[in-house]
Amino acid sequence: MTRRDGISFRPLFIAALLALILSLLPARYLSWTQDAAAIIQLPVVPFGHAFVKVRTWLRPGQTALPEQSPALQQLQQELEQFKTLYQATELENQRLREEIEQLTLARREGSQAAARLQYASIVGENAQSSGRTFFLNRGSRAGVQPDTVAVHNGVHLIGKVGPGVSALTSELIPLTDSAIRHVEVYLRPDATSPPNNDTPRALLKPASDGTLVGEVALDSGVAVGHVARLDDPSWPPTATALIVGFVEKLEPKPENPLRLIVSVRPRFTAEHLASVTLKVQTTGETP
Amino acid sequence: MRWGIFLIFALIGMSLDTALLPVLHLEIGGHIIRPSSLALLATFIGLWSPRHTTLWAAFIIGLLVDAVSPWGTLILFGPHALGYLFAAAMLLQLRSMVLRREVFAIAFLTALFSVAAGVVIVAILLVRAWTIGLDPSMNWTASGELVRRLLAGIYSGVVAVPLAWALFRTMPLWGFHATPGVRMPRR
Repeated sequence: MTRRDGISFRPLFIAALLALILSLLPARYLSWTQDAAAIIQLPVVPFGHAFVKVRTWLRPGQTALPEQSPALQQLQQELEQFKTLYQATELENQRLREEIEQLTLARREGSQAAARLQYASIVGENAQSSGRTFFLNRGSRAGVQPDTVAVHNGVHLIGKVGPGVSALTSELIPLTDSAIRHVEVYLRPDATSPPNNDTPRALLKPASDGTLVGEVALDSGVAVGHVARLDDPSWPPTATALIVGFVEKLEPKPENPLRLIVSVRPRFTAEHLASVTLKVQTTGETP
Repeated sequence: MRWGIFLIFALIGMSLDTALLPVLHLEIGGHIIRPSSLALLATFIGLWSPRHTTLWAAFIIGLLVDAVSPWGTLILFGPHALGYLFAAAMLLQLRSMVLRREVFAIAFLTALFSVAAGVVIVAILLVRAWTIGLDPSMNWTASGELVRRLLAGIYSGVVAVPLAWALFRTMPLWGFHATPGVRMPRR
């Protein structure tokens, strides 16, 4: 194991053997690797910030309509925030009414999940994943947990945090990634009134072209430009009524003429953003 | 080789691979293909360094890639390290056959390096899948991963052309010495 020039290959052989053992160890022995990886990633963050800035400069996202003045953009932003807040509250009220009627819950921790906002920079992309997932510079130390919701401009849903959260970093799974199996939304014009039982709903699945695709009834009244807002019990309550995207296309379903295939495109996507806001769910005080 | 320079370039390569190069991603047959600058770095070092240095550098680069490559919820320090080590060993057999001052030669070897490393990585994950199982959140098939890595390897070779040109400009920083059977580039 020693070469003619006296350099021994034994340390390399041992390191390779250790790497092989680590590759095949059960997950219960590898909890420390998240923290080790976070330490290794630390010196990369400054370079990552710079390169993400370059990336967003090269491929800027659609931030606002160019002809709108900044004041109008701000007003529209505020309007969207209030609509979201109002509709989220209304949906929560509906749920509460149903719960009271059915008398299934004896007590409840809070009427609506409170959220603490946490600004997180996108510092890179997981180059090895089969989909497109992104690294965030916030981890469990900042309260980030798996399934924490990521938004942009307060109301546009970008995705959620994946299951692997280390102390200092986490992984963002965008809404359009195949790892997000499906999202339940309601579709309607961008009105302030809350949804009711007649509001068309759809189960959207990520498509490969960056949209989410689902089905609605032919007579549902859904039209191009309608807003798709999340109303999915499998997502955290902090995501309720957030904007998933806008209806881009409606096509008849070939196998069923009474159904339409609806394509929803998010206005903002993680690949065009340098940062997101995380809505870290905080547990309400128990009465 | 100066290890300090290696570390700086490795960190820049890591950032490039995670933050900037994904902007060049391609989608082919449902596979997202991203180029890798770290494979180029390992190939570059492999062309100009002694055996021992080449193997250690490839192993360390592989560990760095492992640190930013979660498999589902799990970080595994090993698959890339071993894959890169194997690819570096293969590179050592080939390096005397190519004109290493040629940008296209290093681009071709980068593609070969990436594919060879990919085969080992998939093999290790396959063994892991058979023995203890993979994370259920991983949407992974061995054949799909092999195709993805093959395409990514070829793409890394293409992207390596301009990057290798830039890397050759940094040759004086690295402190490479002539190794047996290696011809140094003309100044």
